[in-house]
Amino acid sequence: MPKTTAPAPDLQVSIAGVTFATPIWTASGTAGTGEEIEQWCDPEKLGAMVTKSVSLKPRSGHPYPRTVETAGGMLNCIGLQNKGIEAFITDELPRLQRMPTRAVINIVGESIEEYVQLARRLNDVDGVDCLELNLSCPNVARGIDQGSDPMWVSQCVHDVRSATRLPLFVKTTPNTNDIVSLARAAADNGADAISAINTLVGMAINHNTFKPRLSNITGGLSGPAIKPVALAAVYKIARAVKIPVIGIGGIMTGTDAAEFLIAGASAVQVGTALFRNPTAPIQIAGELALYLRAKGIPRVSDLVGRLAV
Amino acid sequence: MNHSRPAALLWTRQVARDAFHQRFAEPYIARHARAGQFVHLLPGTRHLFRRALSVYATDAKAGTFDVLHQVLGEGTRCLSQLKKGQTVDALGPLGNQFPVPDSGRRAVLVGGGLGMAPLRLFALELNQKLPKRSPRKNALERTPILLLGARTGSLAIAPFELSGIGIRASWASDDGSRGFHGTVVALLADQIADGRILPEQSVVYGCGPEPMMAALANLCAQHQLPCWVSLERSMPCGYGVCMGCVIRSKTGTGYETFRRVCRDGPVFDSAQIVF
Repeated sequence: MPKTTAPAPDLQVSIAGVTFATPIWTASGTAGTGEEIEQWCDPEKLGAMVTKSVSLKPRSGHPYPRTVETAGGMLNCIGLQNKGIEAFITDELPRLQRMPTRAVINIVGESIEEYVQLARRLNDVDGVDCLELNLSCPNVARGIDQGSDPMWVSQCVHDVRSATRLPLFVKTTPNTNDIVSLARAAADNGADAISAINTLVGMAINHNTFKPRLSNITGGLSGPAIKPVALAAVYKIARAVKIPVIGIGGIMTGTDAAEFLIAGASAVQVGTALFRNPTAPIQIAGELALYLRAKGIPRVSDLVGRLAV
Repeated sequence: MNHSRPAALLWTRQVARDAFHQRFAEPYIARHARAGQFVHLLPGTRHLFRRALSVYATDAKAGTFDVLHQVLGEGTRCLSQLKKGQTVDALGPLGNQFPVPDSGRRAVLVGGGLGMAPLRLFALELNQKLPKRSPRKNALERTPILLLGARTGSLAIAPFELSGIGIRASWASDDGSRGFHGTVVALLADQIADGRILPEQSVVYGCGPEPMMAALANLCAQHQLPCWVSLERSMPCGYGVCMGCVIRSKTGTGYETFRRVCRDGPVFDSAQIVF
C-alpha cells in the first residue's frame, strides 16, 4: 500500500482582508526596503516585506556606534536613517511592487500631521498593500513620549484612518506600564491590527572607558532577550482587542513563531534573526510548517490563540 | 537565492601573539571572493552575530579561503579555538573590492598590523590579473609596492607567498625594532620625500586601524595621491540591512550622510570619508 503523506500545512493568513502567503514577515528596520533581502529570501515565500520606517524628510540617523551585542540580544540606536517619502516612492516602491510579496510600508512622523501627510501620500500610489505606523521608536526625540500616551495614539490613529483607505497596522511601544491601553486606543480608532512589540529602551556601558557603547547613549533592545516580554504583551493585547495582533520580539525559530501564534498573534515579524541569518524568515516558515505537521494542525490559523490555560 | 554555507576548518596557525591564520574549505567563497571583500563567520551557536573578516587568500582549485584575525573578544576566541574539521556558518563573499589602478599608476599597498590581509590578496591579484601583453609598460602596474607596519617587530606578520613573485615588503615599526623607525604612514611620507614613490604615478591602498587610515588619507590628500581605504566596523548583518556599521561621508547629505561599511564599502575613496 502506498504510504500516504499529509498535505503540507496551509500557512496562508488573512488580516484586514489582505492575504499573506505565510505568517512570517520581516520586521521594520531589519530588512531595508527589499533591495538587499531579495538576494537571500524568495519573495514568494515571504509573508510580507515590512519596510524600514519612512519619514517625510530624509533622515541621517545617529553616528557610529549604533549597535552593540548584549546578552541574548542587541541594542541599536540607528535613528531612523531613511531617504524620505519622495525618494522612497521613486527609488524603492517600484521594486517592492515587482516583488511577489506583500509590501507593508512602515511610516514615522514627528507629529500627527506628519503621519497624516505620509498616509495620504502613500494612499495615492500603487504598490502599497498595508501601512504600519511606527508610534514607538525609542531612538528619536518624541518617539516614546507620544507613542506611550493613549490620548495621543487615539488622535493619531483616528486622523490617519481618515486620510487613507489602506489597511492600517499600529506598532506599539513596550516602554509603558500599560501597552494594552495603547492597543485599545488604536483599535477603537480604526486600526486593522496591532504590531507588538517595538524594542525596549536599554543601555550598555564600557567599564574600561566609562563610555556608553552607543552614540545616542541609550538604544532599543531586541533579540531573544525580549521574547518573554513580547509574548506577554501579545497575550494581553490579543485578549483585550478584537483586531488581529502581529507578534514581534526575538523570534529565531519556527517554534518561537508558534509560541507567538499560540499567545494570540495572527502573524509574526522576524527582526534581529535577519541580522544573524539573511534567510531567517524562509527558514522559520519552513520550521513552522514542520511543527504544524508534527502537531497534526492543517492550517496555521488554527493555532492562533490556542493557549491552554 | 544566495545563502550561508558551512565552511570546514582545515588548519590554524598562530602567527603572532593572539593572531591566527586559518584556512577553511568552502568552494563558493573560494571561487568568488576578490581582494577587499570579507566573509561573515558565525563562531558558534551561542553567538548572536557573525564576525566580519577580510579574505586573506583564496584557492579556487582547492576550494579554500584563508582569514587572518586577532582575538579581540569571545567571538574571535571561539574561532581561534576551532578544531580541524569543525565548521562555521559562513556568509560571503560580501562587500566591494579594491579597484585596479588606472593605467600608468603603480599600486602602493599600505598595511597596518592585520590590515595586511586584504592587501596581500590584492597584490596577488594585481600580479596575476593585469594584462601581460606589453610587459614593459605593465610591469609597473603588476608589481605593487608593499609597505607594512607593526607596533613592534615581534608582531610583524609577513604575508605569505608574495616574495616568490617578486613582491617584497618594506617594514616600519613603531619602536624601530624592524625596518623604518616610525609608523607605516611615516614610511610612506619618507618614500614620497626621497622620490622613491611618485604621487603622480601611484595610487595608494590602505588597510589598518582607523587612526592609521585617517593619517594615510591626510598624507595622500596633501600629495594629491589617490587613496582607497578598507575600513572596519562592528557589523551585525554584513549585507546592508541593519545600518549599524556606518561611516560619515564627506559629500553625502540627508540619508547619505552615513554610508554602510558592509555594503557601500568596505573599500572607500579616502577623500569621501570623515574620519
